[in-house]
Amino acid sequence: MDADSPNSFSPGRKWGVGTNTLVSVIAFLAVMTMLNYLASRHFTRLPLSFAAKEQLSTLTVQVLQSLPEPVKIILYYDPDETLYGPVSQLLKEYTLLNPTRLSLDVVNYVVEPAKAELIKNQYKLPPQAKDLVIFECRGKTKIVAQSDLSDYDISKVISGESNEVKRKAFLGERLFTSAIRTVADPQTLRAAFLVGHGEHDRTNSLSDYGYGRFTSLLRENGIQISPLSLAETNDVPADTQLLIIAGPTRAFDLGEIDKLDRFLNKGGRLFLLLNYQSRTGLERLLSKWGVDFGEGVVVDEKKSRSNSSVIVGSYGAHPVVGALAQAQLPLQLILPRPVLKRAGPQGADAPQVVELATSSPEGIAVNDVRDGVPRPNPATDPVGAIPLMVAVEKGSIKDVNLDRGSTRMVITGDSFFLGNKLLEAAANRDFAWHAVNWLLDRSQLLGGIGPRKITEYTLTVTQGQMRNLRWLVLAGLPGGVLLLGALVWFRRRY
Amino acid sequence: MQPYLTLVRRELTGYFNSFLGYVIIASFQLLLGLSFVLLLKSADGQPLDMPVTEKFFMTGFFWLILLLGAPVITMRTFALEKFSGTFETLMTTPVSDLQVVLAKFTGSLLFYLLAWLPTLAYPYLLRYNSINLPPIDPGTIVSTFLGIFLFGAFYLAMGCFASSLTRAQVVAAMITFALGLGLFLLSFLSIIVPATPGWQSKLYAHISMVEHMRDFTRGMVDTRFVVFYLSLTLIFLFLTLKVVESRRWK
Repeated sequence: MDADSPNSFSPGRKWGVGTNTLVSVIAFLAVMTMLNYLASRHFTRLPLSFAAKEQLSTLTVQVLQSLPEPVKIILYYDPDETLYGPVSQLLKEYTLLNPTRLSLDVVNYVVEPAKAELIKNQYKLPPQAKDLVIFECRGKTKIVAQSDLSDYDISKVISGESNEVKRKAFLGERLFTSAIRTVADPQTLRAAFLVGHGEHDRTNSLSDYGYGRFTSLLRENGIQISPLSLAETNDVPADTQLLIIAGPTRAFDLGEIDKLDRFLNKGGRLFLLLNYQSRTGLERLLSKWGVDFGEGVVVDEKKSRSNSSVIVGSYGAHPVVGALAQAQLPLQLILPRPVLKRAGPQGADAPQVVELATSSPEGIAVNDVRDGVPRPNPATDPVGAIPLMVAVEKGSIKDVNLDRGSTRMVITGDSFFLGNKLLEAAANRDFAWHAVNWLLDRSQLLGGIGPRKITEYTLTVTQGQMRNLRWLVLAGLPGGVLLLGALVWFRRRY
Repeated sequence: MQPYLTLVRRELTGYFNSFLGYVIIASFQLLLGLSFVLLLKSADGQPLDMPVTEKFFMTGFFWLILLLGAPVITMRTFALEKFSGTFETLMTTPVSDLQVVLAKFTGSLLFYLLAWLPTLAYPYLLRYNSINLPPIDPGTIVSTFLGIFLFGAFYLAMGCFASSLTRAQVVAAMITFALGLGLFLLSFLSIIVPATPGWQSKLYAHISMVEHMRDFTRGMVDTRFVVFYLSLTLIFLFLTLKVVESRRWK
């Protein structure tokens, strides 16, 4: 050792090494902090389970990623409430998807009364308000209450089997996405349900063929609904962005047909749902738009769940059915009428008619229908892939001022499939969502399938099974390990 | 590499040659079993908002196992060697300090994972002992065990660090428990402190272990949390290495 070098145990050397260690520890901590900072700014969430993959639908992702303005979400909730977990988890996923445009504020009204009072005053909530999710964008507010977030199974109550109303689904994503869509959309959309011709009842949510659920779907998506009687008005009101004619059974008079004609010529948007009982006189009007109605009803024995229902999985190339075709989701219709693209030469300014869905090649257009029962006659009934719904679009019409842009129509040969009973069957709800959004020109919402219900998990264990499990996990597994330990100990000792 | 593997084997043998190792695994299993039975009793016939696998880790038992298990597993790593005088012998063998630290950490981590291993049988036990078990998603099991691995690695690295500081195993265990509990309690800051638009809320969410575990049990792997636990593990292993090295200059 050099005589001038300090002794390795000298205080100076100790301080030197100590300082060196301290600096290296600080440097290491700094590197780790920077790594975490970078990781928090550039992160990925990898869903490994099916549930995590399905956490947010494509539609929700599209809505959240295309938000034009920042949306504030206030979770005004008691954390002890049953739905707090799923609700807060879902909202967390929302904010993670677009942290720059979505902010989440959690207000526990039980432990933060002052803040809760502030929220109540700000949003004019009633004194007893609790467990709400508030969405706000530029002063536009939408509130989702806890009671709206569940779908209940009341079948056992109705049948008298039980007094218990069971929660069967969580509707959070559907409601939150539509609430965000509503508050972030600068427009207020209005749809009118035509009345006076035996149409489905838009307010009835209980009967099989009521349109209450369909109406709820529209409202969830920020569309204001009103009834419209053509007999009581000169024209379809100018602020009607969408006219829905759902399953009329009685004929329209000429004056009403003229009003509809004017509405369509001015770029009106029409969702026309006819059924096998519809004899409306609209056929002549529609033939002008390149659409024909075939006679009878379509049955498709290979694609049926009953005599009357037809499962449709063959789609045309159109935005209304693009997502359904991609996901291979079928529709379930009831005794649909054929709806055809009119044959013959088409001018350059003729309406563009696209067949949206057809039966399978084994479909039969049955002419003889008695009391709702089709009676096929193989000798005379046409067989083949029969179109069941069409979309019509027409751009400018010469010398006519288009108030609403191009005319658009979706015309279906069945109206029962969007009734309360079948709206949730197959992909009927998704079709309704896509048809309405195409008619309203909300192209950004046409790419994915709408939010779906989240199923609950139920586990049932009998007393015997519970006894087995208790023995296995409380005695079997720990006991087995201890026994192994005792054997090892015994072997090593002797 | 060979000395490292030899040391890992030595550590593992240390656990399994003593009865204590089996008692630790049996205690793990007893606590997990208790949690499982209580969950089944509360969930039997009741609709749950989340799968059983997720609910299982929402109970306090998982945290109890982690908070108690890590100190018990790691308390002996360095403290016992120092107490029994084998530490200096070990350090005079031709192995580096880093190899010793990593081998002790790996040994305790493998033992910890082995203690969790019987839990994999739970889904199968449930499948044959229930009526309408919803299908168990393998992705959820993978991500849950990834969470268990990451949390365990962090707590065990902390335990190794605590053990390297002292000659007394009990003191090492108490330091680990106190540090672990403190960090666990920080999780609740994100719940207690109202959310604000500033960086504080983001920080509280970033260190909330309860929230992180919830994500793992749902089958969601967030790279932020993976980096968070790996970096914490590295920090404590680095600190342990520095403590082990300090014998040269203290």
